[in-house]
Amino acid sequence: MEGADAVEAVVDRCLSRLFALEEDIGGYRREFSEREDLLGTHLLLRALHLAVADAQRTLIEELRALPPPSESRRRDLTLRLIQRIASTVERMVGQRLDFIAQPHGREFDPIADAYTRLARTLADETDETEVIFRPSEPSRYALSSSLLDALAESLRGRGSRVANELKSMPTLVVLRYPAADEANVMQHLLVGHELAHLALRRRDGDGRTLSARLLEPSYDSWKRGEAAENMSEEDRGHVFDRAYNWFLELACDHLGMLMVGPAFFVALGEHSALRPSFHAPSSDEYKTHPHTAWRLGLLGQALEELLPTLGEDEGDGDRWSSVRSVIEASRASIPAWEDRVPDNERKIVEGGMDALRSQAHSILGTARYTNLARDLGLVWDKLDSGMVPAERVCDRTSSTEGGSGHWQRGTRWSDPVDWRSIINVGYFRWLSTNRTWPEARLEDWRAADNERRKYVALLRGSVELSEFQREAHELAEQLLSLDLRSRESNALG
Amino acid sequence: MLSGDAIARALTDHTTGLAITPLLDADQQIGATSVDLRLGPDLILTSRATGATSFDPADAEEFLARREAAQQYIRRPLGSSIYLHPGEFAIARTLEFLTVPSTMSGEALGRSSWGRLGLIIATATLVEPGFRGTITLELTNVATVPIVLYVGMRIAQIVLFRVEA
Repeated sequence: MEGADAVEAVVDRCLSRLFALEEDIGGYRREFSEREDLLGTHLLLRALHLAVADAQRTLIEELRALPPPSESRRRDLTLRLIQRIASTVERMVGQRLDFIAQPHGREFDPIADAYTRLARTLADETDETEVIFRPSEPSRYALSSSLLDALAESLRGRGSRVANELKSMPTLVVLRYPAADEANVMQHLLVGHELAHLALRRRDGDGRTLSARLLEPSYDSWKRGEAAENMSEEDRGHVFDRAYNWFLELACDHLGMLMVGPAFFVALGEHSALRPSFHAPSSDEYKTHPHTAWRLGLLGQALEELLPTLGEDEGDGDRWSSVRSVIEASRASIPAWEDRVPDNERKIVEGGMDALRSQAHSILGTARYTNLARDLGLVWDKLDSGMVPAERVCDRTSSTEGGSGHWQRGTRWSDPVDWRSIINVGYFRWLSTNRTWPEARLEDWRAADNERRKYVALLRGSVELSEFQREAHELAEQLLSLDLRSRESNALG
Repeated sequence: MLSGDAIARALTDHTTGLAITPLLDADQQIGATSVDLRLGPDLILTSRATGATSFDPADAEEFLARREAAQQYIRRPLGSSIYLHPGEFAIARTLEFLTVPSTMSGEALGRSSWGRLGLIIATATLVEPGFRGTITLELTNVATVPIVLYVGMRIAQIVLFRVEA
């Protein structure tokens, strides 16, 4: 009897832990039931529910097949298996619940869908990627993927049918951003860097990642050189590991900037300049990340190639001059980096970056940002006039430019402005017109901070409106099927 | 008062300083003398049973606490529905952001078709010259059955006037 009681107690404990998890999942499902925008969260909760239900079923099946007390060894093994299943599921589900405990707030909302669209364009499974945006600790942007993969693998290990179901779900990634800067859409351009990781993780038929394919030829070439010959295999491995980590970050900077626009460079500059390590020649963080000055230095060089392709030489000279002057001022404040990068790693990374640059357009495809020249004057002018730069009125003109009122009923009124144009132009305009602040008196700083918050809010609202318009165009058919327009016109006259 | 054509001309001429953004369907929205405005995605719903006996502005602390307890912020995507039950009150805002130049003023009104259903759309109706922002709508269902509102639906309208010095 004593043995049977002990078994019962173990199984009870395990089942209770799983029931508690189930309750947590149910709680989150209720809490987020009206947040239709949290697609990734709903998906993850469904997957976790499946995993817990599967564990409960397995536990009960194992319990039914529990060998009699006379076969104590087999009985012990089964009990240990039951405990292991409960512990593994509890740990894995618990970790994943943490990702959704705090959803992104309303101030991040206007850009959440825009970045999710970019993620879908970049990832392996087109249109099968969902992003969970998670407010996180200060100063940190980070991407975690394979949320379901590890869970599915663990289930597969014990032959569960649910594993295949999890595998067939869309890829789920968690993107962390600094919670304290939730509202700062200008700084959130750095999300572009994190999304670029998705592109570099794409695998070819042999299972090699794109990042490895880009860097390995350069490493092989370095390995045949004099510097590598005098090194042990182990030391060469260390050099490669570090070069690979650094290359990943530098490549993501490059792709991120092509994806979200040149203001990425100033966003990274502003973000990094606040860190104590910015001016330090070395720091622990540079073991996994290249020195920030190097990152900015390379981006600055890349901008020299990028700006002409974005139309710097075509029209709107004054605006472009302002953009250029912001970039020049930013570049001038980057600390010297050439002496801070070890030669071996630098050589390998530079080879990889050459390969990346030659393939960047095909890697990014339609995710690349190209509308700066088209939108620069429009967004700048609207901001100057106190208007939200969210839409491009098709027949917008000026009475001083030969009349107005070309619009005819039945023709298109306007198009939404690319959200990246709103943030890029807004960012450059802000920096080009507000750079005297550091010389202001102390009491002016608070006012300056408030001014910036208000300005960022205007940009955020503009992005929100342009996204609404884009969505309205996209959903036109669905809105009609909801009978929205005829409901209005028929029922309301 | 500006006619619809005059409003369209003013909106397409960037030197006037007038903007109503975005106009999702200008054909529908620009009327003979007005522009229809749509329901935006943010609403503050006031619960019917709050436990509060009164909102007394003289008791500032209690007033704020009670108001906060009674009001719930919600945000809904384009095209989604919101039920406004009989007697229920909600604060909403227009989808469109308005920039009104110093030479114009406006008046925001509910659309009469909603009024006939029992939806009162009271707004701070005068839109002053130089106004920038969305227009706040105070919605009350005074009918006896729920009214379903859709985010993005045309709910109010604005008429514009020239201001003379």
